[in-house]
Amino acid sequence: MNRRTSSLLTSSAAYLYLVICCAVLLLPFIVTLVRSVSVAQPDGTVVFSLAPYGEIYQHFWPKVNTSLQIALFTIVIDTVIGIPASYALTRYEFRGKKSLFALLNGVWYVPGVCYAMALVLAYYFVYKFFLGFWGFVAAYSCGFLFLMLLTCMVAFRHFDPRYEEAALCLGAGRLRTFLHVTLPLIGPGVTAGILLTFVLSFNEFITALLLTGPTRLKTAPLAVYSDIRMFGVRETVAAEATVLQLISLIVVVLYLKFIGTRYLRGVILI
Amino acid sequence: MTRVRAVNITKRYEAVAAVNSINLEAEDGTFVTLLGPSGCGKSTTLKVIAGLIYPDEGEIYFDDRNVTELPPDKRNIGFVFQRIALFPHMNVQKNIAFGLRMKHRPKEEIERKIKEVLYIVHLEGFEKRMPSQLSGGQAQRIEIARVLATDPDILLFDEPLSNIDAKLRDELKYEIRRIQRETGKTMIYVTHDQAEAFAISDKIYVMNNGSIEQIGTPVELYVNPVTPFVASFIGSNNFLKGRILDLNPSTKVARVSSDGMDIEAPYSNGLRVNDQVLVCIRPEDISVIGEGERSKYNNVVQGKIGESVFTGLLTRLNVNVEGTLLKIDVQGSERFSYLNVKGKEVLLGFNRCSLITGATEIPA
Amino acid sequence: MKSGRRTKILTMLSPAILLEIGLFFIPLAMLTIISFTEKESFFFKPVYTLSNYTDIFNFYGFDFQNTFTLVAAAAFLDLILGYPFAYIMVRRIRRFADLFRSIMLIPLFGELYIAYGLWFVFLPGGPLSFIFDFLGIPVSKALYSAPSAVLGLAIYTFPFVVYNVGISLQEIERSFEEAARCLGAGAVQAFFRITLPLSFPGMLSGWLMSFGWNLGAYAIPVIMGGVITGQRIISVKVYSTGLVTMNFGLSAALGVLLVVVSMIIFYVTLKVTKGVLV
Repeated sequence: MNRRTSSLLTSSAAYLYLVICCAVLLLPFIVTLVRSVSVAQPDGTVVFSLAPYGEIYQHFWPKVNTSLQIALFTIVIDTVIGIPASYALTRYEFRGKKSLFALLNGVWYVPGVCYAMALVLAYYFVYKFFLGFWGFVAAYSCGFLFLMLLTCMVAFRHFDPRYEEAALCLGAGRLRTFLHVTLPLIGPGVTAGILLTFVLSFNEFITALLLTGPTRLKTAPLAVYSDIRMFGVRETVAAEATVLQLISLIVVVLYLKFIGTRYLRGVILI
Repeated sequence: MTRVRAVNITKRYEAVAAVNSINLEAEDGTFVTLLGPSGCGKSTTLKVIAGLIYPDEGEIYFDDRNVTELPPDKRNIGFVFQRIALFPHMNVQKNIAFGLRMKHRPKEEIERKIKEVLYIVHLEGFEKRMPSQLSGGQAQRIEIARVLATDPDILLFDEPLSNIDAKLRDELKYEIRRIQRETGKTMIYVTHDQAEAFAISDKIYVMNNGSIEQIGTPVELYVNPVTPFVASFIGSNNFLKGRILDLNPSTKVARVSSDGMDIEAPYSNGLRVNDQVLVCIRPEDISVIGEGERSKYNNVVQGKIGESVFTGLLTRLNVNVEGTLLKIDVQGSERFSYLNVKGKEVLLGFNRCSLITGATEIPA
Repeated sequence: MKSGRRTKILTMLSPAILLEIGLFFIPLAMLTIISFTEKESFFFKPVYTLSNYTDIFNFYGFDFQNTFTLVAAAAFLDLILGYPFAYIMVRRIRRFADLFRSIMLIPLFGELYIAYGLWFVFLPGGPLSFIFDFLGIPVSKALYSAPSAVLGLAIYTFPFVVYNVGISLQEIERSFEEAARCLGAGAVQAFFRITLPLSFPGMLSGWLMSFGWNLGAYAIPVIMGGVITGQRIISVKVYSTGLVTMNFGLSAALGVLLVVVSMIIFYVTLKVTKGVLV
């Protein structure tokens, strides 16, 4: 066997491995999807039907709406807070910078349940007024800030300070430079943070599980979870899960189509 | 020790041929250089010879063996990379020993070899150092020691000096030459630096855009470039478009008409009257002369000095001759006389020039 | 002006810092305080005690052990399956790279869906039950067992390992492998002697990140692991002791210990990756 064939074989094997791994990663979604459209008929057969989606619409859609709104506000807050913070962390040198960065990212490493429990306790005792919808938004804003920080820092890193210097020399003040030069050039990198924040906060369920008590609010993923515990295999539950995943998938696909994986590399992708 | 032949090597990336039907031959024990600008395909060619890249077409022969299908580890070569490839997690000793351990040589032999090669590169005592502790020049020499340790048939060096500073580069290239001479191994060397190639090579292949433009010794390439690219890549040149007026095989003279000038150029067999040619005159071959020296030169023209630039070693004059701008290099103590001479009328004389046939465009 | 610069930095950072203090440090402080109170006494009149911690020491040892075993196993599985994936992505492929990268984002959607989908797969009569028949594994043993929980956890953190190993591999110059090949090493030898040792930091940080992230997993162990294995992990215990049994003291104590473990892992990971971003 000559080198051409052997290298062809290795390439094929390599691609095959990637495909198998990806298939396993996609497996849960595909199975859920298939289950959601397989309705058992009285005579025992199983047919393709979109009926489950109609059934869940009434009670599920409001919850999806809630989750979307929470995600939206979280994104806005995190962007407004995150961009200046990451700018300061990349452009300036000051004492304690490394420790500060570590502290701001600490949320990442605290297990979800512990953080949620801590929040519940804090909400009861410290922030007695912080319940309901905004309780969720606040919790998620803090919990996912690190995503925005990381992506923006990577974006700032790749952004040449020379552009800012040129603008300053041409007479633009700090704020105008930021608005007209920095922000547009950073924009695409920031979108990566927005995407990740959306995906994680929309689908977040552990904190929701614990916060539902004090806030009396049920988010979509939480509804799915409790339905799983109650109804298990029914196609309506699968439909709910599929809807949520589809929404996330569409957002991701749209993002990748228009912006690509460029800005996600160095943060969460290689 | 080994004769290397590359036959009709072609390698494509996407639709572009990085290397296009290259033929190369390096005789046993010679120092052959691939010279050319970035992207001309010289590194690709070298890697095909090494086996790191598999060619789309063509074969490689070591002596009479066809090694095309062999991977690099079976070819017994010594490859030195452009960027230091010393393994960062091993010290000098382990780095040098690596190749011998792959061949399962006994411990005593390995230790002996390490001392031997460190002596050759003049870095005795460096066994325990880590690559991060070495300077650029030292690291490069250790890399050379590492490839020598396995006693390869052929040495393949890919622009080893391009990341070294200028002063060190100067010394190191003669070191490389010395090592090649002492070990007697066939060397194929890649560089973009013309002076480097000239200083140490036996034979040079000048490459451009995936093809070989000319093959020759440094002197041959300098005195007789056969393509416009070679004429402009090697040293500096003045280019004049011309047409052959007259050929005289017995006196070995060709008369060329160019921009109103009548030039006497060397005759060669392929020339025909009325051929379009490029006349190449090196700036250092043109002299500023006085009236009484006219008879010493085959070609004498008159012109007016435009800019003069003092570069230290020489003074370069831009002289307008009948509408054409010629570059003249004045060397020696004379060069100081031409520092502020703008507008001065001068007489220029030259004997040596060369002709390139089949080319009508002056290279950029 | 020095002071002007400082105020500028401070204004840019203060919202983030305030947010963190208010919604991260204070809650954690509350958690720690309550961990020292007895049951729900904090709600009425706090009774301070160390009994929570002693209880944990006496009764919850198995839960900690179980949790760590499951999570560590998942991290190892990730490493074994993820390293080749990262290697192929970085070194070998040219086409479809973006497609494969995009699929890496899917586990981020949430462990809930991974758990639910896998649950379907493992259920008797599920689409892939023929694989179990083929392998001779009774379905009742496959589902609701440690291995299925480990598989779920591994899928959940697969992208993290691929990412860490990948970054590490990207930094290794290709010429190292090529040099080894030219010196006589076969492809496999070159990999094990040169590439693998040099990519060790990436392997370590990937393992740690997977471990740390999976400590917080809830849905996967609960749905996949069943009562025996799945319920006996710390994150579930934090929830159940807290909001089911209303023993807030104990719940907080469990939480604090889990946080401490995670923080240690975080610290070690920082050291290994040398805090590259700042």
